[in-house]
Amino acid sequence: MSNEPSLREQLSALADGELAPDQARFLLRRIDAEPALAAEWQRLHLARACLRRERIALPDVGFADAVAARIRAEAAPAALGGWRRTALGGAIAAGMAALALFAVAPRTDVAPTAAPVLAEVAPLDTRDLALRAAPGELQRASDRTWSPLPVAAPFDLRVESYFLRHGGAATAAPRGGFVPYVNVVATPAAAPPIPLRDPQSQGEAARR
Amino acid sequence: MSENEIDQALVLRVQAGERRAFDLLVRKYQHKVVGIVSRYIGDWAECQDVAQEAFIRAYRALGNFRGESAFYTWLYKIATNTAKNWLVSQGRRPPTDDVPVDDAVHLDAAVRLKDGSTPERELLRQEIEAAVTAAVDGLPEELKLAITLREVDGLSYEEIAESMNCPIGTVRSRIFRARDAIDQRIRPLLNDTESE
Repeated sequence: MSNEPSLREQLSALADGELAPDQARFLLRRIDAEPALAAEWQRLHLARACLRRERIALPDVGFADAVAARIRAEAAPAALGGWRRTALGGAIAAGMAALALFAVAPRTDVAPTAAPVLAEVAPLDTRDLALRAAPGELQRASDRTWSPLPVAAPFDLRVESYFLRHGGAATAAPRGGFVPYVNVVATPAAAPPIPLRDPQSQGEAARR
Repeated sequence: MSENEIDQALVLRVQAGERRAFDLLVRKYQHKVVGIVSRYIGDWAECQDVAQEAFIRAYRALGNFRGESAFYTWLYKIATNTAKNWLVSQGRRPPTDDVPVDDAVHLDAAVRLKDGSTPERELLRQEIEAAVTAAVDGLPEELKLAITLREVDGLSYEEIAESMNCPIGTVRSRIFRARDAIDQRIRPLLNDTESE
């Protein structure tokens, strides 16, 4: 038996799960090193089982030692369990997939260094125009300040082809695709011009 | 740190390569595991071997233990499977009436009579149970109440402190003193066995 009453009291609290984690870790290591504490640990749980009227049987003397001797001959169980290996493998696979996606996928973004087209257009001075243009050729200011938006990088042809095929298949499906009243992708040839209606005719249509 | 958390901490240490941590789990659960195996295997010597084998299998499989269930629940399944497999390997038919883990630890004495324990071991077990009961009966009232609330009713120290209207430190001390008194009763019985 250990001569330290405080240590034995800690052992009792440990068995009840009432010891602080740091103390518990320390004590568990002490039990490893002190056979008397290990034996008391064993008796404490035996007494507990008796008090709780649990089904027990007394193993032969030296049962735990025999198991320990056999375990010494065994290789240590993998520190990284099977499920952890699986999780790690999955994480590596996901990482590789993400790397491949970003490394190989076409870039559709505009380089941050590319200046907008508007910035390259020299500001117009309407006084100059007024002086140079002939009467009647003057343009409205709103017309002159217009400039086309930057054109996005060309779309990947494979992706574009996929969307076209997907759109065609969706509309050709028996029920007209998953949203039958919407053209998912409209090719220029397939998309009929949408007739513009004046507000009055739209109001009439709504009333009908 | 709850009882399950203690087991889990020990499991993590074993998984980290500390084999001695497994010894504490063996010492904690050996009585129960041998009790489980003895339900299946009548011969005492075979029962001991199979119980040992169950622990060895648990040790080998510990790398795959995820902690999704309590360690004892997991160990219980290994013990029953090991016992059944052993019976099959011997050309015997394992019983089909499995007992749930929660019920398996609370079987009555009539079932115990079927155990393969030797008469000497069974007598010793009864002596130990009687010694524990006598030790508790002989305790001062506050120690008896504290150990009963803890071990039988399963109350935490905080709950016991509330119930007994005393500080938690006093509860801890009372429970330890009660256990010390019980240990003084059962230690000679076990030491007698060890000196055989």
